[in-house]
Amino acid sequence: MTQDTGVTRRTLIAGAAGIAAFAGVATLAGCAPAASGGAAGTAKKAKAGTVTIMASPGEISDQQKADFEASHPHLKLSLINSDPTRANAMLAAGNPPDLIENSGIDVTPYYAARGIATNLDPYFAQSTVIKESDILPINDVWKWDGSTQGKGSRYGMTKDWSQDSMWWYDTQAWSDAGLTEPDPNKPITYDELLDAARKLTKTSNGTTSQYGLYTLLPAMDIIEAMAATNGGRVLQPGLAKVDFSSPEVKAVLKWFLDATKANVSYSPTNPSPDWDGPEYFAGKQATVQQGYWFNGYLSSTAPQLQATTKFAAAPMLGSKRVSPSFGAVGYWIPTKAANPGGAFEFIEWYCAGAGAKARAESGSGLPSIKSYLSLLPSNNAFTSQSLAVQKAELDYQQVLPLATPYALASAMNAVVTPAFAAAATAGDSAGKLADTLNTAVNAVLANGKVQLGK
Amino acid sequence: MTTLTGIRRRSIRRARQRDGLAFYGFISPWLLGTAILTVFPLGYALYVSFTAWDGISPYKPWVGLANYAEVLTSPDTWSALSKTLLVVVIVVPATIIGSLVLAIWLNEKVRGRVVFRTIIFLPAIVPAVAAALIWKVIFDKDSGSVNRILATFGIHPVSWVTGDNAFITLLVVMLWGIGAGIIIYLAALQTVDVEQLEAAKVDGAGPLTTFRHVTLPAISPILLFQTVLTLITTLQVFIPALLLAPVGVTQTVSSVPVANRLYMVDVWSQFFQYSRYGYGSAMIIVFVIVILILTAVVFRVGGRSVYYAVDPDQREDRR
Repeated sequence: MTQDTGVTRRTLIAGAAGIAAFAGVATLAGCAPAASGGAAGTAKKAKAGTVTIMASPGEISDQQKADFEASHPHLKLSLINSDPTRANAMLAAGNPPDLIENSGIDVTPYYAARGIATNLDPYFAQSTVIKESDILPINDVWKWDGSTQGKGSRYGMTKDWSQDSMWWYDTQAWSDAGLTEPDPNKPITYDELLDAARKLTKTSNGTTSQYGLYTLLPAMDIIEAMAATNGGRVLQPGLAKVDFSSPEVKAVLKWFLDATKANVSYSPTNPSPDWDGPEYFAGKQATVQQGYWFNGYLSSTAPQLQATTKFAAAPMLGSKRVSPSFGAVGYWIPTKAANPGGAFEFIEWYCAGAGAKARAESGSGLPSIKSYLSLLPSNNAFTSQSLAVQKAELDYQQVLPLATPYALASAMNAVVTPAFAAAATAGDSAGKLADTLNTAVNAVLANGKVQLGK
Repeated sequence: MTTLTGIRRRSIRRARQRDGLAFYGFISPWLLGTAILTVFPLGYALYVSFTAWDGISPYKPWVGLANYAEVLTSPDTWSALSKTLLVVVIVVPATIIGSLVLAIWLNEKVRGRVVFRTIIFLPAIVPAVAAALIWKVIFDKDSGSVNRILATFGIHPVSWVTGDNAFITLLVVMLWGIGAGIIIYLAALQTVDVEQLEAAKVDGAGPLTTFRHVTLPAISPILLFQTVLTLITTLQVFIPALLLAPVGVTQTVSSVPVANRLYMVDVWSQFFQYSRYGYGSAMIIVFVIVILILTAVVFRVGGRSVYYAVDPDQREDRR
């Protein structure tokens, strides 16, 4: 188009570039390093209006929503389904939900170090619902002092939790395989569990109708937990490096490789079409590695299996009895939340008030509050057995070094799980796998240090 | 006289300015949309590509060209790019040729051609997400239809969504929808001059010769357009590769089998798994350049074979 119009292609392209450049400069101007959000401010009062919560689908039922709004008439809840991608986008846009549901064990150092999680010390200090003396130690996972998880200011609260190395088994499958049931209170070793799984697995013409072992998911948390029973540690002091090559940790890697090779479970080389729960309910698995929360899930989803399911203490690889939580899922408030005061009122209700009480009574997880431990169900043989085993296990709960400010678990697991799959397929030794993991995971952590300007 | 000429020239210039302004006025919504939704995001991505931003922090540490150096030297990036190019080399020709052959068949006056056209076009209207998930069920190792059929022949179950088999499954899913192009080709085939076809028949040309010397040149501009479009969309394939990955409680991009770790899957994982927005942005900028180069090559090579009934360089004399 070469008409003499005064408005030409050239001027238009220049104009568009100018718009983009202006927008870029405007954005750049907002990108100066911000002060850390770690210092405690003052507790903001709840604003009448909406509290936006990002939570797992179905986590907060319509009834619970109605109950909260009835008891807090100045607040209305707006629920968004949990989506890490969407959460990232909302945080990046400076328009986050008021509350985000996350694993406290995983995210606390990461978000607190970036100054995007609200320091909740002032809120806890002035709360009339949550008493400091009634908060269970599991809530320490939401504490961060700049270098150590478990110490310092609070950045969230657990809604419920479990000791996630514990496991459940099908007593009928155990009996059919001619195996003696394990003593639920005396931890089985992982080697004994693997031997039992070989006998429990039923295969015919290349198709497996029942796997003896739960789904193998080699991830940072379970590796660290198993190593801890062996006196070992993966994430090193300083939280900026991992070491998989110690004998204690290599023993864990070897167990996973042996278990994968034995083909007694779904694994990174034989992925499950679903997760432990549905596979167990369908009779495809004879064991499940889930915590106490599975008690409530099974009772509500497959109550017919209560008669043939039992709960057992966390297995051990070594001689030290350690039974950590991998999640301690709860809620944290972004620093740019529109209604932090309203968000904390929800935390009070859901994690320590009426909402927490109802969940404790259903056995859907251990409560965050000491006084609610007595509300856990014990109304039939199944729930009584589960509760007894769980109570005995509480003494072995320990906060392990599972999290780092330099990467989320999902980033580290993104290299761990494929490395396992490749090593199992290639028949690599535990030593070779350890070297691969050291290189891969340390690279992820190194990138995280650059992101924090270190 | 001079005054009249001057008045006439000014009058013509004003008329042309009005025409120009009207033109740009009509396309301004598109221009604005492009500036806001394409130019600005690309510019912002270019800026972010020089930082080590994690996507959520309020600050973006400047790293200069470090991200680009890593992109160009990372074995994972080259591996993802080579897998993507392999997909392109297989899927693009298969799609173009397959769609064309189907369109030619469906252009004939065969019985039930409306039914066949509908059946062949149906996959195109199934959403990509639904298609990937349905195929995953079909290819499931323990309960999928494919393995059940194989079992009747005494073949042991095959894991179709893991290992190298996952790549074959991905190709099946991508080629399942080649019927989408028949609409375009059917329209193109209607534009072939009937007189030329009849003349070729009279001259004794067989079907293949007629196709080669009459039909193909006539539809060559459409073929070029479809090739470029298919190339660009295939290079950016992401959803089938991600959704065919095994599901589980830890379903993440990392569960995508190595065989299906295509370039855009890798970009996605850099952004949302590793929170490396800066590095991911650098990957995108590099990929934009790769796409531009490949598109230019297709235009250059294909353009020589394209026959235009009207010379595109000719312009109407408007005044």
